[in-house]
This record gives sequence, structure tokens and C-alpha cells, in this order.
Amino acid sequence: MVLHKKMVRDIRRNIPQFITIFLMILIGVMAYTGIESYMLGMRASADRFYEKCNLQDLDAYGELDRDDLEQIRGMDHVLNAEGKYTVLANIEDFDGHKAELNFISTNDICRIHIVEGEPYGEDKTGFWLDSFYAENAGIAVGDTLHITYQALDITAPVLGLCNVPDHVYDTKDETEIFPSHTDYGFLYLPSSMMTDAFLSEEGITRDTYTSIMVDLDSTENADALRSAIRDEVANAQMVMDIHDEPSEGGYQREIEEGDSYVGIFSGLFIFIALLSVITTMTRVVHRERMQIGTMKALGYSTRAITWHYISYGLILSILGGICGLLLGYFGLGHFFLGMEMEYYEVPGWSNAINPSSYFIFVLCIVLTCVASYLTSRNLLRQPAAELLRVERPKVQQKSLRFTTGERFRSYSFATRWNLRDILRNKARTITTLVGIAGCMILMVAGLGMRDSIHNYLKLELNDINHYEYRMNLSPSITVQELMNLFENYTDHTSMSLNIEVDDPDEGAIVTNAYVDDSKGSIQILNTRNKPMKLSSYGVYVTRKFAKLHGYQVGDTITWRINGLDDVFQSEIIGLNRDPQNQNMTMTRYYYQRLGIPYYPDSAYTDEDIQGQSIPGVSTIQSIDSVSDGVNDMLATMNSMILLIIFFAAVLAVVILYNMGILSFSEKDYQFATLKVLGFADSKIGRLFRQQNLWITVVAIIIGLPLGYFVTDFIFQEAIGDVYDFAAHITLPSYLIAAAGTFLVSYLVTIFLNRKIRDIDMVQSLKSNE
Amino acid sequence: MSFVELQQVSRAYGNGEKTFYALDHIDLTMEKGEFVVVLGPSGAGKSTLLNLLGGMDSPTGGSIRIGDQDIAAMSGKQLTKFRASNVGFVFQFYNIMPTLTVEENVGIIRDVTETDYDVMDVLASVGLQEHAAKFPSELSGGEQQRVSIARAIMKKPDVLLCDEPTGALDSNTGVGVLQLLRDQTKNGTTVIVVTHNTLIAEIADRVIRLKNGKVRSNELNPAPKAISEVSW
Repeated sequence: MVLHKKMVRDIRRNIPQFITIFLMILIGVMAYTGIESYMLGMRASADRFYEKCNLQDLDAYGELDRDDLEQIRGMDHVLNAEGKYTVLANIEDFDGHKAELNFISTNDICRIHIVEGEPYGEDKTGFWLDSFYAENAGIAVGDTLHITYQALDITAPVLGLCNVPDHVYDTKDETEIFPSHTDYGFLYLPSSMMTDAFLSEEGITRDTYTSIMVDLDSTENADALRSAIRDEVANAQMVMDIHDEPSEGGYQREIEEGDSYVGIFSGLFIFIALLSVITTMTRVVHRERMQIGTMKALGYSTRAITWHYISYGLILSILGGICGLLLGYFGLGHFFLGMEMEYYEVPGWSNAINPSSYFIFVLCIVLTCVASYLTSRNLLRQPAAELLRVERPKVQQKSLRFTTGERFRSYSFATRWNLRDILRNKARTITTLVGIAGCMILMVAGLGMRDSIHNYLKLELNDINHYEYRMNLSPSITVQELMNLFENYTDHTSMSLNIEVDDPDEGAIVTNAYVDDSKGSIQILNTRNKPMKLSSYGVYVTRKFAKLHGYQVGDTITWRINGLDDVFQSEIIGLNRDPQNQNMTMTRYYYQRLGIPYYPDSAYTDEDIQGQSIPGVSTIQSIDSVSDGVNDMLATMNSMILLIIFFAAVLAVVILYNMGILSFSEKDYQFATLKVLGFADSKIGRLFRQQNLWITVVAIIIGLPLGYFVTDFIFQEAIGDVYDFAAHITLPSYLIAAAGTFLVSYLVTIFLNRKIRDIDMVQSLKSNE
Repeated sequence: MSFVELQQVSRAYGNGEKTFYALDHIDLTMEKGEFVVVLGPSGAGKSTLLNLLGGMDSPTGGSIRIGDQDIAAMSGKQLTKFRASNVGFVFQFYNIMPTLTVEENVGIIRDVTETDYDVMDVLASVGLQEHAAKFPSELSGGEQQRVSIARAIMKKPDVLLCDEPTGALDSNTGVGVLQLLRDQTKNGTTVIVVTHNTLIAEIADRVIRLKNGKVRSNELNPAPKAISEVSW
């Protein structure tokens, strides 16, 4: 009971140190829990949505019909299959807005999740509209929409606003990097709403499908069924695993990317926090040396004394950890996930505590207690009489000897004193150094990620894409329409193909090929991101593709176009670089030489064609809209980076203040002596500041390149295989991080400097005795 | 006029009825080059007197004149300057810098005041020239105290204040330290030693006895013993 009182009063007496322990554990656990819960929540929320709405496992594409549907339904491991007819339609009265129109019948697979309005029914007449798009476009339930597509002309009410599990990540086309939901959305409607004029013009029935969604008994059978459908269902030109589809694939990539860099950030936070806590706890207990001796002399058992000091850290680490878990989960994690979910249509999202957060929580408690235990145990090994004597300052002469040489004689007293103090207190110095360098790394990496994305944007907008408008050509564009396009607008075109590379080691690699006839509208870059001219006697692969799959220039690559049986063998004649697509590239000339007809799917122009209706063109996208999409994403990223920088700065302040206080309290009798000898406060202040500023400068010097390497690691290695970014950190970012860290250090030191003025010479010298 | 003069000096703590006087309106005088020993039981006010004389604390009443300076009227900055130039300190637990060598510990004085003395000469005068490059932890207690004395005399102080300088030393070592302190009076330095050890009073020129913050006696010793004659 008495010891309990002592503990409470000791905590009060050492309040800065104990607040530090509490705060460090709180920040460490909060950052870790928040970041991890956001990533796990992203995955878990989507999984819940998929489960609830029965997301399909496979999609078969082609000109499919009822027979194909029944054939698939009859296959082993297939639980169910449903057809869908999809076209890209215009939303009239909304200038340039497009909708992916999905005609469905039953809705047992990939069920529509109603956000507002009435449930889907195949006997109803109306639309179920993408809720994200509806919000941006100001469309509500009950509003009437007028949809047109060639001979299709439907005017009907919006019966519901919805989300659909295979439209979680829903971009207009592959050029839209992040979904904006501003001029494009999806619409679901019963196939009974197909008009006769439409059926007649398309030459289809209500049992014709552009795709069939397949629900399997187990995802383990997906590969086998994918091959079986492709081989056995005559009209199935392409079969895709849902994980390779743009929606789930894009979402999954975001999680994988996030997993890689958040792991680095959360790990750094917790490492810095723990290092600081362990050092603080060790020092605090060591300062109790004489009291430990007194308790030992009074007859307290070793166990009781040890437990007394363990309980110091135990209580605070438990409190800090619980607060960290709660704030991390309800605050930080929720905030991060909320920002992310502005892009993804996952209803009912919530972050989820990663079990590793509990492990980190326990680890913090255990390490704090172990630090107390080991320190008190080391002290308790000494006899009580020894502990009760004044501890003579230990100086390892060997380690300091080199500083007494001729070279050091010319150095000032302050320099020698600080140099030796650093060498004498290596653990404290290293902790401070690592702490500040860690915060520096966090700041550089945070700003660096922003810069690197900016650089990517610059690469896309200035170096790769040299056009103002891109026209996505309709798959059904006629030769005449194409000729008119060439004549009136542009003959800068390109074609993208889904291909499979037959790799002798890996089997089929699903990727895509880009066939270029853009005449410079799309500039291919070499491995140094400089423009390159394509030759027509072979193919190019991106350097990351080559690295991932072991290809090099001169190798032969075997590939086939999805849906076709022909297999081609091409020589790799060069490597190119693409920041967001790892694929194969060839010229139109080479492609046609292989005997394959060239059907462009994109055309590029600088002419202002915004809002125009061009026959054979399904959508028009301006380069500005691409830029806007990325800028929106950057704005979200800025908020996250600001938070990371804020917490890094808080960590730096707490570490510097705490280590400063520790350093000060361990030296205050020396400062008092200097004061007695006639040293002015300002001179002692400079002495004290010098050491902290040295450590800060060294930490900055270490942190700058490490910050770059961490950023580069995130972009080069940890991020998904689809991307090939490199860290690109601008000088202002380095300067901001360095100046910020230095400023934080300087301000904390100035604040601590005030304590020198308050040193009571008499008391300090007495307490030393 | 005496070299050190204290007139009606008080150092009080608290206020009103709870006021406690560590020193209670004391008058004292000491001469230049005197070896003064201040005796008294714990709580008598010895250390307080030392702190006031050294400018480490300020009196709550009265005046303290050392030479021609009234240190009771000095500001904090003036006191710092005064300590740097005029006062040497020797502490019971030496208070030397653990990370500075013996030579550096003594040379540190050059950072706060000008002095004609050479560090190695001063170290030689205390018999430590052989240890100049050592760190304090490589020295014995007596040697460390001699470093402390060397540091104090490096500035050729007007007043050398010693708080239990032999308190942590054995008799033989203590005697050696006292001899060094006594030697400083030959240069005109007034050496004031605060101690519990009444035997040291036998070698003093002047013995001041304090009790409960008051001066019980302030006597000149008509026949100070030679240091070699004392031991404890």
C-alpha cells in the first residue's frame, strides 16, 4: 500500500517522462492500429459485400445465348450462371454523360444492393442507377432518365440507387486512373425493357448476352472452369477470373499497394515509439537507484521491489495502449478508410481491427515492463550498501581517450564536453538519433510519395500522352465511320488487346498488348523515361514485365490473343517503361505483318471535340479530365500525408523533449557546477543546445537518403506488379522535411533551455551529494 | 576596513509566522589572506553562509561586502561575473566534470575569466602534473579533490570557499588537502572552510561558530597549529 502511494507520487514527480511513455505508446499503437484497421477494413468490407451479394467467380465474354448459358450451368462445380447484355449508352439531358447499361433478368448472382428506392424486380420498368454517379449528377429516386443507344431509346423512372459488387472500382475506361463518378455511371434494368427496334437493329433476342456471370462452388475450381468454358463453350471468346476484372482487380491492387506502404509507415511509428519508451523506462528506473537501495535495506524483497518498478510502466503502457487502440480504430482508421471509400462503391464499409494490433499492444506492455524489470534487476544485484552510496559517474576512458589527442586540443570546451557526453551516453544518443531520423524518414517518405505521384502525373500528361482528346471507338464501328473519322478528325489511332503469354516456366501470363499507330500522340518511353522510336521488326516489353517474368532483349516471346487460337512468336527487340501498365508493345506495321487485322479502339486528336457526337465513337475523354481525376486523388493523399507528417512531428517533439529532459536531469549537477564556476546561463544554454542540434543535424543527414530509399522501396518493390513508379522527391520536399525537423528540434531545445535559468545551484549541488 | 564584511545579514525562508531564518541578522568580518574555519552543528547556517559569500544565493536582508564589492546588491548577471572572477569553490564531493580530463577540468576556468596562471603550473602546485591527461574516474578521492582545488586556484580567487573539503577523505589525504588550502593564503586569498570537524579549527587563523543561524563566536586563533600536527 505504501509502495502504491510511492508509485503514484513518483509518477507525479516524473510527470514529463511518464507522459512521454503514455504518449509514445498511444501514438505508436494508434498509428499502427489506425493504418492497419483501415487496410483490413477495406478488404473485409468488400468481402462482406461480395458475400452478401454473391459476387460471381468468372465472367465469360462473347456473343452468347441461352444455349451457352445452359451449357455453363450444366458444368461441374458451377452453382449458377446468369447472362447480361451490356452496352455503353448516352444519358440524354446530361451533356456527354455515359452509362454502362446492363440488361439482366433474374438477379441471383452479383445482386444489386439497394442504397435507396425499391428492390430490383425483373417485372418492373425502370432503372437502378449507380448511387455515386447519381449523387454527383444530382439524380434522385423517382427522377426520369432518357437513355439512348443507337436504336435504343428508353425513358423511364429511376426506381433505385444502388451499388453492385462487380462495380466497386468503376472507371469510365482504362484511361481514367481513378473513378470520378462525375459523367459516367452504371445502370441496371430488366431485359424486358429491350425495345423491339433495338433487338431488331442489334439482331439479338432477349436471351442474347455479352457476358455470362458464373458462380462456382469453390474458387479453387476457377482456373479449371475458366479453361473448360473457353474450350467447350463455342461462343465464349474470353473467360476472366473476377480477380482479374477491372473492378475487383483494381480494388485488390489498391489494397496490395496500401498493404506495402502502410506496413512501412506503421512499423516505423511503432519502432520509434518503442525505442523511446524502453530508453525512458530504463533511465527512470535507474534514477531510482538510491531508493531501490533504501527499500532493499529496509527489508523489501527483490520481488516486491521489482514488481513495484514494473508496475510503473505497466499501468501507463496499458492505459496508453488502450487509448491507442480506441483512437486508432475509431479515429484514424475510420478517417483514412472514409477518404479511401470516396472512390470505391462498397456499402456499409467499416474498418476492422487487425489482430496484429493486439499483438503490438501486448508487445508495448511487455517491452516496457521488461525494460523496468531488467534495469531494476541489475540494480538489485548490487548490495544495498553499494546502492546507497553516491554513484560515481562512470566514464569509459578507452572510448574517450581518442578525444584527448592533439587534434582535439584546439576544439572548444563545449565541443569536447558534448562529444564526450555523446560517447558516454550512447544509448540515449542513439535513441534520440534513431527517433529523429525515423521521424525524418516518415516526413520525407510522406512528401516523397506525394512528389512521386506528381511526377507520375507529369509523366502521363507531359511525356506519354500528347493529345487533348481521346476517342474510345465503339467495338461496332463501321469501316465507313472509321474512314470518316480519319478524314474529318484524326488518323492517330491505337489498339489494345487482351493477350496471354505462354511462358515456359509460369504457364499463361494474362496481360495486354498495345498496338501503336498514334503517330506520336502516345509517346513510348525508354527505360530512362526518355522518348523512344519503335521499330517494326519485333515487340517491346516493359522493363518491369521483363524483370518479373525473366525476359530480356533478344528472347522470343510466345503469345496469343484472348479468344483466338493463333499463337505468335515474336522477338523482343527492346524494353520500354510504362508507369501503370506492364505489357507488350508493337507497331501497327509489325502487328499487321503477323497477319492480324488492325481494328483501332482509340483515336487521338488536339481538336476540341468535347460534347460532340461522332458516329462510331463511344466516349470522348479530355486529357484535362484525366488530370482532374488524379488531382482529386492527390487531394485525398495530401490529407493522409499531412496526418502522417503531423504524427511524425508529434513523435519528434515527444522524443526530443523526453530525451532532452533525461539528458538535462542527468547533467543538471554539472550545469549547476558550471554556474557556480561563473558560466553564464547563455553559455550553458549554448552548451546544451549544441548537442541536441548536432544530433538533429546527423539525424537529418541520415534521414534524407533513408527517406528516399523507403519511398523508392515502396514504389519499386512493395507496390503492385502493375506499376513501375520510381521515387522522385523534389528539393523543396527534402528542404521542408529537413527544415521542419530542425525547427522542431530547435524549438524543443529552446524550451528546455529555460530550465537552465531555473537551476538552483544550491539545491542541485545538494541533491548530487 | 575588513576584506569581508557582513552586516545584519539574514537569509529567511517562508513568511509571516512561518518564517525560518537560516541566518539571522549576523555580523561578521574576515581579513585578506586569513584561513577561516566555520564550525557548527547541522542546521546552524554554515552552508547558507557559504552560499551567500559565493554569490550562489542572495540574502533577504543586510549587506555583504567582499573587497570593494557589495554582492548583496548584485543582479544575477553581476553575481555570475563575480563568481567567475573572484570566488573559488571546493566541494565535499569535488564536482568535477567526469568527461573532461584533469587538465581540461582546470583549464575550464579560462572559458569564464582571464588568468595569468598556466594549467600545468597549477597542476604541479597540487602535485597532479603526472595525471593531467587522466579522466577523474581514474583518480582517487584525494586526487579528485586536488583537481577541484586546482580548478579553484586557477583563477587566483580573492575568496576560496570550501564546503567540507575533507569530508569524503581519509585523515592522511585530508591533511594533504588542508595543506594545499592553507598554502593559498600566502597569495592573499581568504580561505573559508565550512566543516563539522573541530580539529580543523586548530589550524585556522579565525574560527567562527554558528548555531541556529546566529554567530556564537568569531575569534582569532592566537596560535594556529601546524597542519602536520593535526590528524583524525
